[in-house]
Amino acid sequence: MRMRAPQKTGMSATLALVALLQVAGTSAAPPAAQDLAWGEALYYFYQQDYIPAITRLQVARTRQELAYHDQESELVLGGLMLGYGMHRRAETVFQALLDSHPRPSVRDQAWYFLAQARFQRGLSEEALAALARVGDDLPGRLEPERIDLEARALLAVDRPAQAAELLTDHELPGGWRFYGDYNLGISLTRAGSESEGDAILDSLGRATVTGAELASLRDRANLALGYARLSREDAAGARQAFDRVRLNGPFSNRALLGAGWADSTRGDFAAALGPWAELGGRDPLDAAVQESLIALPYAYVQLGTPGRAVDGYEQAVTGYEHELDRLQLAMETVSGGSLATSLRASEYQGNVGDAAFGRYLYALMARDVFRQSVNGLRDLDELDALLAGWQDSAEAFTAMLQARRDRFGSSRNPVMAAVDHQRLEELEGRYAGLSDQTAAARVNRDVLALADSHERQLLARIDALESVADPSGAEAARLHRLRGVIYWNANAAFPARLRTAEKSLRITEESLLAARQKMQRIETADAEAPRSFDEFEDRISSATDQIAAMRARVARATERQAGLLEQLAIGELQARHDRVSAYLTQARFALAASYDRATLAEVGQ
Amino acid sequence: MSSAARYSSCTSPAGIKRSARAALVSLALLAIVAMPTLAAEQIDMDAEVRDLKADVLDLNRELFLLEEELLFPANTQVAVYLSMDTGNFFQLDSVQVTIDDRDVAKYLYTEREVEALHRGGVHRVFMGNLKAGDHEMVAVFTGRGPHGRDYRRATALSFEKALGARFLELVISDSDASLQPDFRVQEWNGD
Repeated sequence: MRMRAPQKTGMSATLALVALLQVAGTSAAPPAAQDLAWGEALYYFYQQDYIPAITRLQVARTRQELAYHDQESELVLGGLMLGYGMHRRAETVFQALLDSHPRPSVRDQAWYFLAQARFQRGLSEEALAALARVGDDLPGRLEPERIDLEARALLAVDRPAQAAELLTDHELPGGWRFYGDYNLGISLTRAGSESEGDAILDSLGRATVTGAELASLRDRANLALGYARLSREDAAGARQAFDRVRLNGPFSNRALLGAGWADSTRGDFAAALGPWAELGGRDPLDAAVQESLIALPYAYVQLGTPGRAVDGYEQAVTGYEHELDRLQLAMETVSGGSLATSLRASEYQGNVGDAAFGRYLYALMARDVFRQSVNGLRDLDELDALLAGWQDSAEAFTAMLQARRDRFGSSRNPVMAAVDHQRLEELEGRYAGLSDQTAAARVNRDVLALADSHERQLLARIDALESVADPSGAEAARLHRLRGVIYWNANAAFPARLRTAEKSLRITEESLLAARQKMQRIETADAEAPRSFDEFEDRISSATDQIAAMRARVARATERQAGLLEQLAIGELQARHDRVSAYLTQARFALAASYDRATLAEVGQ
Repeated sequence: MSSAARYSSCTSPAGIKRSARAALVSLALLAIVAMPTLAAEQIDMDAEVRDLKADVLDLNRELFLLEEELLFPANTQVAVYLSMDTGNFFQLDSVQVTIDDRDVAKYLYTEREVEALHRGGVHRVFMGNLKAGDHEMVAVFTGRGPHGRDYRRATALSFEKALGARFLELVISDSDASLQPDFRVQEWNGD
């Protein structure tokens, strides 16, 4: 059987979910962001920077900035919350929206990815609940992954019989079969159908595979098979399975220890020396390696070579004592409260160099519950850093607002404002007078009302001359004709003058209106500014209180989380300590027995 | 059988088998020792962290709004964004923005940020305040152009700022006709 690793979705469940929702958006949006705020949220999301991504999207929704992406924004917000570990809120969003989504395939895929995200966070029962919502419209390419996920979730909640039934009913295609059969073998074995499980694991353990992923899975199959056979006292079969585990893989130490035990179970202690001696040169932190320290001299005892056994036990005693000293120091260091500090210094990766417990921390980080706890600490630290930043900003806001208030107070001059107001009223009065005069001239066709200044001067002179001239004389007649000429000219120019005058009045009216509006805006701003300052002051004050209260909550949670981490670390270190202590006791006992035998042998001689 | 007795000098086959089984049980237990109770506590702790995250995010949104309203009032607000289309002909390193001959932003991009831009993300390069009236913005892009050569290009825009927010988007795209990158500015009205 030659197998290749199956093609998986290749991204986190959250990313897959968001990608799905983007593609499935009913707006058929092109790849480019149609709303800047949407693009900004995606910019942070693609960097897995969840806090600004969620905040930007929430703000955009509040401000109604998403004209094109509003429909999908809530779903994506749910995806972002899921990615940030806010399962409950995310699920509320999904349940409300997905139930009514028009495309069943989108609904099924969303529930599937939600299940995947839950399982990745160790919420196996919740993952099964989400899988139960997946209908018949899941795309075919995801079906093998769904079966695989459901089987692993069932195994995680200790329902191996159901997992076996599921995997028996569904034959997985291609490389997925390898995973399916592995889980089926484990499920059957755990469910009590040992011979069936053995056959499946044995077949997998002999398979020819390509790639590191499947090679590792094959090692796991052989390791599980070896220990299962050993527990059934099938030592020869166990040895065969252990022998198939690669010597450089992650399961090799446990396989070597098991191989030695398979040999010793058959009474072949000479054969057991090989795998146990090989373990002696490996990682001293590994449990199998530590156990081999005492297993090896034990084999020498059984082989009747007490001298080598004594050497081996002495080395084991020394090694265990040193290990116990290191463990004790590590426990004291952790109890001293420096675990959280060291984790922060290592950016939550656990590689803390020469710290007393650094060598154990790396192993601890491999434990799900510990890593989950470290992630909790990291998230809380991130929240506190965010709030600390806002605390500084809030102080700056307060100072800035005070400066604005001061500047507003000093720049505002009530006397000048009153003068401007009075002047505008005068101009408006003059405009009203001119407007009335022009209207009267139009109604009465008072052509002289629009006479120009030259005509007005001439008319004034005619008036003056007429007052002294003989009314019946020739001079009066000339003055009368002259007045007639002026009237004639004014009458001829009247329509044009009226248009010009009315146009000028309209322009004046617009200018006065603009000036009036501007003055009103200034007055409104003058009146509103203090109120606006007060509103901002209230908001800043309220925010400052909330930030302080929130930081206190975060600090309490951080303390609790750090305490929990300490307990986990101490528990793990103590367990190691207990185990090594037990080995040490056995080694000392066996060493004393070996000395006794040697002494008795000397006495006998 | 206690672990202390496991490596005693018992040589009977049955004893050895029992010893082997005890070793297996011991190894199996190693994986789960001391964890179940604490795991339950961690689940409880996770719920507390989730609640805190939700509350902090709500507060963060309020503070975000407060900050923008206070620092960048809608009447004077101007913001400059940067987006990329495909970007096959240009690998962005940095952008520098000047408005009315005044440097307002200079940003050096990480690979991760450029990747986010390629996937459709939009980066807000600058946000500030401008009076109503005519203004000029110049953006200078540096990076690697076609054939991996150093590349430096500028694009400018004269624009009128009226009352209301004004957004400018620097768009980097590929010109299939010239096989060169194309830089342009798209204007958005904020109201």
